[in-house]
Amino acid sequence: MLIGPMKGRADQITARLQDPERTALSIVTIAEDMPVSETIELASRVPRDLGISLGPVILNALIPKIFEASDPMPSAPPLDEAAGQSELSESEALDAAERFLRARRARAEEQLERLRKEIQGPPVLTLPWLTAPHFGPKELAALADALTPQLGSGGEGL
Amino acid sequence: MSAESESHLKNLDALLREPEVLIVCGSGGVGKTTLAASLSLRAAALGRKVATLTIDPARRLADSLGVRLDGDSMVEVKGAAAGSSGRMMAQMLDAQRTFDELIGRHASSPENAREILENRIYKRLSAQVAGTQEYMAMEKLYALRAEKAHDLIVLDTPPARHAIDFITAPERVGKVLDHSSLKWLVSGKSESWLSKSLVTTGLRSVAKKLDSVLGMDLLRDIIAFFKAFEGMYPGFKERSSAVDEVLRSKRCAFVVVTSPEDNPLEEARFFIEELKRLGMPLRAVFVNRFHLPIRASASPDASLTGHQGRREQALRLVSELASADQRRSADALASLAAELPVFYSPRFEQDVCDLEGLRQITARLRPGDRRGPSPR
Repeated sequence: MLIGPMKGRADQITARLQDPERTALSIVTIAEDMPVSETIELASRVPRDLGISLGPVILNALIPKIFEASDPMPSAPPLDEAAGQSELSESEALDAAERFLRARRARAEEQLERLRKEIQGPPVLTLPWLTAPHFGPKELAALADALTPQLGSGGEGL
Repeated sequence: MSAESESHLKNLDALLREPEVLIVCGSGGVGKTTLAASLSLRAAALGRKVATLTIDPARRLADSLGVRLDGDSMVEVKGAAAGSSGRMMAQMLDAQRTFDELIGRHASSPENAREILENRIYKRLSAQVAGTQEYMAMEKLYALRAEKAHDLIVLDTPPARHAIDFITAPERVGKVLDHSSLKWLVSGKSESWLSKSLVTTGLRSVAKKLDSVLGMDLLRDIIAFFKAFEGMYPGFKERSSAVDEVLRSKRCAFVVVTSPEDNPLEEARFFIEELKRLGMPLRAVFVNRFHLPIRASASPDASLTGHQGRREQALRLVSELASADQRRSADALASLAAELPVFYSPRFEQDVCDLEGLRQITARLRPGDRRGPSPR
């Protein structure tokens, strides 16, 4: 529909975006149902509909794996119920924290598995959950440190 | 539910019993749609006849409400009222469909409606222009109120900063329609002026350039679009004023939803400031996915190893998460009025995806204020 100088410029931009040597599109998501579903859909459509190549998919804010599968599961109520009480005994508090983090990690791993299964081609990388109240240079460095080994030497993954 | 948690929810129930319209604002990804659904469910359990307009619910949430993602009417949410005389209806906002219906209703004739619906500018405008969803939410709110079948309309707003446009949409529609250049454009003089100028004057070269960049068809479409809209302005304006009046009245309550993370909190602050500036009634703030502290009688022992060591590590991590959430929220909400209720919704172990999960959200809400959840 477009002709003339605007078209020429648009074609140049399109060519650059579609050149896999110059442009890759990386999707960042979190380990929850809807963001992961949307990531999977986007990842399938970016190369198909836009002709842009896909870079690594990054799962952000992954809750850490603390427990071993062989650790016995405590039978305390979930954290948000336990926390309603004014004070817990030490073992109750430990039970509550363990149950909460194991459940959260299990849900997150399900989403990570879904991503790894459904994303064709690019690697799925993960970034850790940060506990600092505010994001600053230290947190940025922590994320870079977490990402570097996953990219391979020379960072060719990006 | 225990008597204690009943009393803790007094403020929430007061919030849900009074207004005729409840507007839920907040940025994307904070659980706003889920919270809007759980507040609706609670209001229905209190005996109110609730109509909930959701925007882009997760598929599993839509399924559990029984809302079809492409549905064109309100559906009753089965099992919502839990034995009370209330009920909950829900529908997903389809901006395109609402816009098309609006054209059908206000066009001067079926031919006029068809002319607009098939216009290239209309198709692009209605599908793409930022803010269309907001205008249509307003339109839908008007239509639902006109049905007079609902005690409470709960409106989930689009997940973007410009969602606040929803509030000013009535006013802006009015302003745009009063704009004199627009009046000139649709007056009929413009078209003859354009064609005359183009053929008789030095504007020919300009037109040629415009044509090569945009295409003359596009200019004609623009004019045809505004002309076709001409007869619809009085109806639009009337509805805009009616909605604006409700939004500013005591019949309407706004709540802002956030999660305890920097960006959503920043957005929440923006919404809170905007509501204040616009004179809209903010009734409560909800901090979703909040890590509640575990108050233990002894502090974790870092020297332990094995499973016991991992348990201590988990307790330390939960404490860190809780204190970070607490600090971020308190910092961001510091300027709130001390008496404004702030509800803290704990981060659940599981995703919420059914009616029971939605009920758990309101059942487990912790009341508090800008400083944090109040101790029990």
